[in-house]
This record gives sequence, structure tokens and C-alpha cells, in this order.
Amino acid sequence: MKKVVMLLLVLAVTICAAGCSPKATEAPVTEATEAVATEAVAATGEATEEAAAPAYELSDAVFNAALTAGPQSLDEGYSTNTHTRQVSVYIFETLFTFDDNFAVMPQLVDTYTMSDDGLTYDIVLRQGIKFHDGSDFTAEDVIASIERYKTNVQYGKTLDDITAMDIISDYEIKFTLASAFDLPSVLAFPQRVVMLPKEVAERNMGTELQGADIIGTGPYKLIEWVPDVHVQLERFEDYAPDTRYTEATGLGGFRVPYFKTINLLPVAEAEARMAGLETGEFDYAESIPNTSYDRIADNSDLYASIVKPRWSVTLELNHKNFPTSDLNFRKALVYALDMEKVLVAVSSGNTEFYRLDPSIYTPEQFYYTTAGSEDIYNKPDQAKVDELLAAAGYNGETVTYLCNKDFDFMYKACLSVSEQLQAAGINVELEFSDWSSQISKAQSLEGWNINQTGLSPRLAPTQLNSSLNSAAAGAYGYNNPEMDDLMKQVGMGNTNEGRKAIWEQIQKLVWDDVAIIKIGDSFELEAINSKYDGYTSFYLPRFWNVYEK
Amino acid sequence: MFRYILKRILIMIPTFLMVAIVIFCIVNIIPGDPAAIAKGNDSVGDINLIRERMGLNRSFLERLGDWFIHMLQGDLGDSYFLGRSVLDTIKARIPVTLSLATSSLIVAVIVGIPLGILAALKPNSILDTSIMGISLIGVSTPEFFLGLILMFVFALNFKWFPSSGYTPITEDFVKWARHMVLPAMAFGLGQSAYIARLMRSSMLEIMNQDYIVTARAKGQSEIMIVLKHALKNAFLPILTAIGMIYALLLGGAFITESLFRIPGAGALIISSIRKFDFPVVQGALLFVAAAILIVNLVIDILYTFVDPRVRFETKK
Amino acid sequence: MKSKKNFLKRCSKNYSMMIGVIVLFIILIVVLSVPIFSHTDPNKINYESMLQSPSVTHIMGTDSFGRDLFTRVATGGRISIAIGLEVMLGTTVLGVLIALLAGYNDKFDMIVMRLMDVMMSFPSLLLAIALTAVFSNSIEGVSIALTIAYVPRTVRILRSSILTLREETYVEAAQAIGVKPITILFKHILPGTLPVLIVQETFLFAYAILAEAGISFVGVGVQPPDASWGNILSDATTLLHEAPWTVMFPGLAIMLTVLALNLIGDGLREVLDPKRLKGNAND
Repeated sequence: MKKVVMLLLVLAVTICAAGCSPKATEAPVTEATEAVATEAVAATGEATEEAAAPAYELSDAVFNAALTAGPQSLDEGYSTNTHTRQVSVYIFETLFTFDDNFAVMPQLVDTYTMSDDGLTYDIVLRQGIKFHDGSDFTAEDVIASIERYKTNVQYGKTLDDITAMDIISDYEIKFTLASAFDLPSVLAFPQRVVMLPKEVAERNMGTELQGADIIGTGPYKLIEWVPDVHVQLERFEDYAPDTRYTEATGLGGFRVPYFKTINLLPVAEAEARMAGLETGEFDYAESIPNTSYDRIADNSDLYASIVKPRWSVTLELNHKNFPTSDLNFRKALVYALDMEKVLVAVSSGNTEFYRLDPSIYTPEQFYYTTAGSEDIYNKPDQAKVDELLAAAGYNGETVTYLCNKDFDFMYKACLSVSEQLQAAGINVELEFSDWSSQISKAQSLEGWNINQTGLSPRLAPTQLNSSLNSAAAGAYGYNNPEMDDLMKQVGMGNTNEGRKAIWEQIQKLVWDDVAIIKIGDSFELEAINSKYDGYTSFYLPRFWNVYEK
Repeated sequence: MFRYILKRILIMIPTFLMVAIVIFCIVNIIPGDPAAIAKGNDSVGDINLIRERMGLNRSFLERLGDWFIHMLQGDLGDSYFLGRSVLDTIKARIPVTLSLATSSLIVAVIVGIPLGILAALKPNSILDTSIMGISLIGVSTPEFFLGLILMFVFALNFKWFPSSGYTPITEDFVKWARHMVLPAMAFGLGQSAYIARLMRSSMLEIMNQDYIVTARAKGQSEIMIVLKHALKNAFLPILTAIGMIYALLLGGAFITESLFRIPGAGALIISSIRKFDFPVVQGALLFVAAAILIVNLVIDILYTFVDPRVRFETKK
Repeated sequence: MKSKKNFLKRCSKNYSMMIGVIVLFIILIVVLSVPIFSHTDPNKINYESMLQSPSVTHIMGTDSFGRDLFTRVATGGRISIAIGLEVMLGTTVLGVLIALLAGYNDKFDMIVMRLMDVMMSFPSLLLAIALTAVFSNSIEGVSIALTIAYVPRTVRILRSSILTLREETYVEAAQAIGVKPITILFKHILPGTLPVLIVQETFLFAYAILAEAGISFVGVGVQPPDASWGNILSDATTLLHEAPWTVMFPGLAIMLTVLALNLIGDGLREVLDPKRLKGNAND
């Protein structure tokens, strides 16, 4: 008997010893220490407000945020993925960025001037900015960073039109362009041209940033990144907040890294994010099912907010394969859909979480327009469907509809859409896969007709090149020279009003051609522990300027 | 004794190598193009270059040979997507799965064995019938359903335990234990039902043996009989069962891991299979299979200590 | 004829087994009849009745699409039970063939048993997941994967039963009078293995249902729009707090079915296995 017990003990000890985990870094939990008085310098440039910025108390606290997934890459040059951007906005900054209304604003740029013909830009950089490695941010770094983007990323093609970058001084550069285009917006987005130290940029021409090379000028530096486990960020003590502003806006403005440590944790299950929030394990959780809205409202420890805009629920169409290659058929698809029903399904019937919206740009954004949608969007009409199907010569061929369960709103949308299409006499077959497999299948253009997707808020109109320009893989065979021409025009240096007029033509053409089908807007619920103040909703969660009450 | 152990270890090696080959073959016939996924939405980038970087342009046999030789040298290659070596990726995950499986095993043993003994004391009594009834329900309940119920009651309603997540035991023991309670119960209770059933029948068999009957005739108290004689012998078959259950827990941990968001090796296998990250799938499967082989080995060796007959055979 | 009567009589006396049979029977009736007689489409989205708790119109409530959970659980059960049955049949056919061939030819036996050992040293659920990825996440794919993952168990149990039977006098007698080995295998040995086979396959049916539910639960099994119990349950996890009934009913359905099969399996073992019976008579 004794022997048995002893042996069991030995067994247990061996197993336990094997079960011990590698040592992880300890989380600091001491009190707030230093205070940084940040006095606002007289506002310059495009900044307007002049009130003194509040003095924030920096703290040693740790902030844990539960996100839906972790990044696969921390190099925005290699990934346009939201999960990458969610992290990289803490680490990297750009010359220009965008504000809460998605308008371009300077970040690392102090002032700039554009020549009348739009072919030269004179850009003056902010001074006193440091990289996480301690080196100063100067004109050389800018040029190396932009050169790196030219060599290895998809949007580099736009940057190829920069024919020369001349250093005028350490903090001033002259850009010469081959053709007039809106340089600030191209540098701000859709792919953020992040600023790296010169040596890092040169070392990584054509390669993805890894490990110690993930160095930026942002308010937080990367401490540890274990894919699928966590991203740990630590306050960059030498960060120079942009004192031209008094508040943070968009991804720029006056940003203060209040927390010493921010942990970004991938927590795929919504219920787990929600429960962790309730137990205090997480301070913030994104993308909570909107069915939990009342539950959060009832909980005084939590503060719920609705991210708006968040997703444009959209169908992409395969313009190469019949029947979606036929315009009449594509129109039939739209007339077969009661968009509100789809949105009700997406939001489980809660009207706070959806909005009928035919525009690629949402009403909150500058480029919002309903052009072209008046007679087609949300006008379900079976007679028209029948007529259009007949005109398309459609005889019940299988229409393959790609979908996934990774995004709850897409899953719900595609169930409703496919049901409605079937009821209208279209032989839809749903095909579910993983989100990444879905993308690669869509790219192949083979064996599908409809691709369920969701667009995060689009920024500059040039970003839509990837969905509408005949040269882009993401246009899925859509090819209209008129569209290509309009897309080219909208990217040129122009006044905002001028660009908007062109954009309205584009949006109209999107509906006329049924290039893609916008179903409507779906909003997302997020929540933060109510002991914090200073958090405002945005499509990327921002924890700078968030502090404990 | 020593020779027996050595022999067992030597037998294990070819089995392990065959398991490794089988794993490679199965994983590499999974239809799916990791290169296409790596390329993603980018309109630039040459898929053939990506294939070449991933080593997918070579023939199946070449890849098998290459992987096999590297594996023998302790190198499992690099993940297609995580930008890290497979070994690094798995190293962080294995202890997590081990600690989940071990805690579940502890739950299974400390609940199952006493219940089995209790049931065997008075066969066919109300106590026996209800214990056996409950354990049959326990055997029939999927761990994810039990886990959801536990989560609902103890995490969402009473808020006694976190509903998900994991803290390494080396970092903070109390936190680790709090995170482990619900998953270990969800995963372990079903197995405890199995142990209880087995313990009961094993006890019953022993209790009818001659020497127990003799002890009874001598007027020893029933409790003394159980503690002194029956338990020791009834325990033997349970030891094998515990080994099997531990293996089962290691191999089935992925469901509990995915329910409770525990970043273990099982969860890694699932997410990697979905992404076609074949090197990681192969490596993680290999580790789990190796862990199970080692558990079986340990149980076999323990058995030689406990059961003299095995030792006898090898001495011949 | 007499032994058959005897068997049925012994079965009917085994009350827990009868409970299992009745429960399984009820589940089968519901699962088979509801999709035929109900006018409710299990996939029909109902925009007016989302997440309703159980009531007279929706006895199991509705899910986040307003779909009637009762019809969904019933149709989902068809898929889950069908997979269980397919795996049971698949492992029976494959298992019998392999075990008999192994019993017939010693060389084949050695190779096969080595392979089975390797497969057994591998966690069957993980093997099933990898195989599902190979054969596609369809109903058939999952069935095939589970069949391959579970066949070694059947083969092993059958083989040891065959090995004992080969030593029986009537088999030896048949050999002595020159009956062809293949005839002996099918005529004399196979019937002898039936009790073991029946018990094993009943439990395997239960395992297969649990396994399918498990791999569909983690999202690598049956894919929507096909709904199995594991699938329905996995969809419901996010609603655990708001709509617990969406979790309870599919979970209970799995549990009851597996419980019924376990009761039947236990009962069959008692009724069919004379040794076991003796042991029980002792207690």
C-alpha cells in the first residue's frame, strides 16, 4: 500500500514538474509615480484649439485589453489586416494621419506647402521626436522609410510617382512628383507609411520587420509579442506628445501614454471577452455580441459604447463567372434583397446596431453620398427579379456564396442573404470556410460567385482601388475603363470638394454596374471598465489618453 | 528490472518514428494551399516564391525525408505564419496542456476513487445505485457541455472563478489555480465517473476473494478490511486506467482548451489546421503523441514495481 | 430459436437497459418525424422572434436568428445520429474484414497489428481532426475520419476474441475434418465474436456521437448550413448568458442519446457476456 502511494506521489511530482511553465515577465502593480506637466504650445498648423492641455498623471498601472485576434505580422507594409493595425498604431507613427472624421492631419509633419501645380511638396518635420532606440527622427529616416515602402509593398506603386526626395535640412524635405496626387493622404493611408529609423529601414528592404527591428516613434514600444498569446506594450518614456493639439483625434493629436503597460490579448470567443470584463480580468473588450448590451448597461462597473461606423456589410461579386458576370443578374441580386432584413439578422433585431446605408462611405464621413442608389437599394421587387433573371438567361445554375464564421456579422448576414436569394428563385449554395481560406479562394476567382465581406471605414478614395480598379485582384474581374479613369482622377491633387464630386460619380457607377453590393452598416459593441476615463470609440481601440478616474 | 525498462524504451523508439511518419503523411495530404493564405489579399507578391520559401515546391518524399532528418536532430522547422520556429511555438504551449491534463486527472482520481469505493461497500444499495447512476450520466456528458454549465453557474452567476484564460503556474499559483478549477472539473469529472465505475467493479471482485472472506470470518471490521486488504489489490487495474485516462486527457484537451480559452497545444493544433500551418500541426501532434507514449511507458514501469508478476516474467 | 427467446427475455428483465432502449426510441422518433411532419423550416430565419425563451409556440425557444430550436435540434440530431450510425457500420465492416483476414493470415496479422498499434498510440480525436481536414468538413468527411480513427479499437477487440475462439474445441474439430480455413472463419468463428462485436459497436456509436459533437464544437467538424448537435451548441456559446436555453437543449440531446446508448451497451454486455454475468451474479 505504502509503495503504491509513494509511487503515485512520485508520478504526480514528475508530471507537475513537467507541467511548470516557462517564466513570464512579472506585471508591475505599483502606484502612480510621476506626473508630467504638458503645457500646450501655441497652436500651429491645422490645429485650432488653444486651451491648455490637462496635466495627466502617468501611472504604473497595467491595462489589459481583450481583442478578437492577435496580429500575424507587426509590419503594416506586409499586412493591411486590422489586427496588425490595432497594434501598430501604438508603436509606429506616420508623417500624416487621420482624425476622428477620417480627414487627413499632420502627425510627424510640422508644416507643409504644396506648389500650385501640385507637383512639389515642401515638408517640414517636427523636432525633438525620438525613436524607441533613442535615436532622433530626421529627414534621412523619412526617406529610407519611404524607399522601403516603394520596394516591398502593394501600395508602393502609388509612391513610385514620387520622382525625387531631396533633403533640404535635417528637418525639411522636398518631394517632387511625376503627376499630381494627394501626397499627404497617400502617406497617411490606406496603408500607413510608418516611420522607421534609417538603419532599420535599410536593413529591411523587401523583408518583413521582425523582433528587435520593430521600432517606431509611437507612445508605446513593443516588449513582447507571442503570436496568438499576447502583445505586451510598454510606455515609451521619451515620447513627445503632439502639443499642437489639446486632444487626441483619430490616430493623431495630443496623445499621452498614461499606462505603463498595455497588454493586448487575443480572445476569440465573445463570451470569454465579456466574462473576463465582468470579472475584471480585462479592462476593455472589443466586439461584444450586441445581445449583451442590457447586461453591460445593468452593470455599473462597465461602460458600454457603440463603435460607429464600424462595418459596411458588403457582398463582393465575381465578375468573371456566370451568372454574376451578367449585369442583369447582379441587378436581380439587389432587387431580391430586403436590406433591412439582413441587417436585423446581423444585429439580432437591435435597431441601435444597424443602419440602412447604400454608401461605401458612412454618413459620419466626408465622402458620404447616396448617389446611384435611389432606385435600386433596398427596393425588393420580385417582378423585377424575375424579369432581370430572364434577361440574364439564368436557368437555376448554382450560385456559390463564400462565407465564414470567424466574423459573426458576416455569418449572420450570409444566412439571411442566402435565404432571401433562394426565396427569389436564385439557386444559392453557401460555402463556409476559414476567413483566410475564404480570401485565398476568392482571389483564385474559381468556383464562386458571391463573397461575403465587411469593409472597415474606408479612408482616402484611393483605397477603393483595391476593390474597383480593374488591375486589382480584389476587384474580382470587375473591369470598367470609365471606373478606372475616375479612380485615377480622384487620387490626384485636388481640392476636397473636387475630389468629392468625382467620388459621387464613382459611387453612382458602383450601383449602376453593381460592382459590389453594400447592404448597410453594422455597429459593434465594446465596453471598458467604468473606473477609466478618457476613452472614446473609434474603429481601432485607442488606449492612449485613457486614465484611471 | 533495469533490463525490462530498457527493453520498453527500445520498443518505444520505432513506434515513435512510425507515428512521426504517419503524422507527416496525414498532415501533408490535407488539401489546402498555405502559400495562397500567406499571400492573402496582396495583389503583388509571387505565389511561387512563397511556395519556394515554404519548401512546398519539392516532392512529397523529399519533404518527408528532409523533415524526418531534421526532426531527429531536434529541429521541427519554422511556422509558415508565426514567424517563429515550431519548437519555440510549441514550447510555450506544451506545459499549458500538461497542467490542464494533470489537474483534470487529479480531479478524476480524487473524485472517482472514493466514489467507487463507497459504491462497492454496499453493492446494490441506494447509495451504490445512485453513485453508479450519476457516473453513467457523467460518462455520457460531453466535457464542453459540462464546461458550459459550470461556466454559467460558477463564472457568470456566482463569479467565483474566471470563465476563461490562463496564468502560468510559475507566475502566480493562486491565479493559475483559479483559472484551472472550472476546466479541470469540466474535463476531469467525466473521467472520474469512469474511474468510479472501474474502481467499484475492481473492489467487488476483490471483496469476494477468499482472503477477504477469511478476514471477515476472523471478525475484522469492514473498514479495516477495505483499508488493509482490498484497496491495495483493487488499485492495480486502476493504475492502468489512470495511464489511459491521462493519455486521453492529453489528446482530448483541445476541446476544453478552446472552450475556456486556454492557450495549450490542442488549441494550437486546431488554429494551425485551420490556417494550414502544417509544420506547427506536425510538431504539436508529434509532441502530444510523444507525451502519450511516455505516459504509457511510465505506467508500464510503475506496474513492474506494484505487480510482482511482471517483474517475475522478465527475470525468467 | 430458443436462445433468441432467452436473449429477449433476459433483455426485458434488465430494467436499466430497457430505459435506455425507450429513451433512444423516443429520441429516434422525434429526430425522424419532426423534420417530416413539422411545418417549421429549421433554417427559416424569423425576423420577428429572435432569442425567445421557451414557450408554447417554440417549446425550446428560438436562437439568435429566430429559428425554432426544437426543429433545429431534431434536424441536427439526424446528422449527429447519422454520423454515429455511419461510423458504427463503417467500423463494423472494416473491423470484421481486417480482423478476420488477420486471423486467417499470420503475416497480414503482424503488419496490421503493428499499424493498429501506431494508430492506437495516437489520440483518436486529434487523428480524427487531421483526417477530417483531409476528407473535407462535410458529413461524409467526418464519418470517414471517425471511422478510420476508431477502427483499430474494433479490430483489436475482435482479434483477441478470434484468438480465443480458435482454441475452442469445435473449431479445432472443424479444422481436423478438413474444413477450409475461410469457411471456418466465416461460419464458425465470426458468429462466436458477435456478442463482443455488438457490445463494442454500441459503445462506439456513443463515442462517435460524442466525438462528432466535440470536433464540430471546436469548428473543425460539420460546417454550416448543415447543423449537427455540436454545431448548434457551438453557435450558442456566445449566448450562454442571454439565452441559456440555446445551450441547454442541444447539450441535453447529446447527453441523453449517449446515456441511452451507454445503458444499452452496459445491458447488452451483461446479457451477452456469460463471464460478466457470472461476475454479476456473485455480487
